[in-house]
Amino acid sequence: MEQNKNSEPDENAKSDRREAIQKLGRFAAYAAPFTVLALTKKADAATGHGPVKH
Amino acid sequence: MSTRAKIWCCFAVFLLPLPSAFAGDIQINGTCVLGTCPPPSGTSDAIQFGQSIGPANGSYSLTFANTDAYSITWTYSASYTAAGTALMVSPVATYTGVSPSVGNDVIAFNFFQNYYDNSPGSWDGAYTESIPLALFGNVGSGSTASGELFYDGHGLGLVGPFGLGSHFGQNTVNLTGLTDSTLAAEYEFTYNFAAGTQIGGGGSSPAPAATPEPYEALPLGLALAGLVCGRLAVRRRSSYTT
Repeated sequence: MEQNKNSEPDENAKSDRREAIQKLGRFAAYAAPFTVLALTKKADAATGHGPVKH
Repeated sequence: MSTRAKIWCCFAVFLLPLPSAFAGDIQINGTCVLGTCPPPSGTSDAIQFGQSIGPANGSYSLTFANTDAYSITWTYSASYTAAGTALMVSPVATYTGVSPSVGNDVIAFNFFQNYYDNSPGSWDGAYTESIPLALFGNVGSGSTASGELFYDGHGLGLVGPFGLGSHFGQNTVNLTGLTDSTLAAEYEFTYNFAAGTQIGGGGSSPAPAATPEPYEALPLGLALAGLVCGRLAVRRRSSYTT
């Protein structure tokens, strides 16, 4: 996709995108500890394991 | 579609659960509450190499003839990869009656999962069951919980029955003669609630505090979306500066 580097509205759109991406990044930082917690908890369920057919 | 819309679509995809190709099947006290119990041999209700299902959740209300009522919830997943066959199931039974239970209530929870592989050879080898069990709250005196995993009808050993509190059992057994294309796994849990069980009392695998809740999927989705969007931002920033 071709970019118009001199257009002011395009610069505003870029700024909006960067802001949205930064917000998501902050959410991810907050979510990381809960993600680890969730994955740890799932390991406690009843499990069964067997081999591949060979 | 604008770039912002594309970013949000990408974000939304991470929050959606993966579709279940071949669901696990669940039977409670002889009633098949999910799928076909037991599932038929063949490919129609089995996962094949490279496939997986879940995690998936469900619930069921069970009322005995003596009017004792229980809520049963579960989470399960299964996969068949180069690491072998794997399954996970976490059933929870909780008494919901207002007054203490009046009878001895036995709840049999059976989870079925078939695997299908028509390549030559057999499924023979070492099979392992790992079973955490807990009875919690005000269950009637003498209440118990137990569990056992079967492959093609071969049990890996009964874990329990255990009383009040959290317990754990694990068994590994070498199974032979598993030559069919279909490998049928069946996880059996039995909760025996004695009379006098009060509201909130129940049994689970694992203990109730370790049950994964649906809200925990949101942070996981956010974290993944954040990683993808972070990469996108770096790529876009470098393209603007060149």
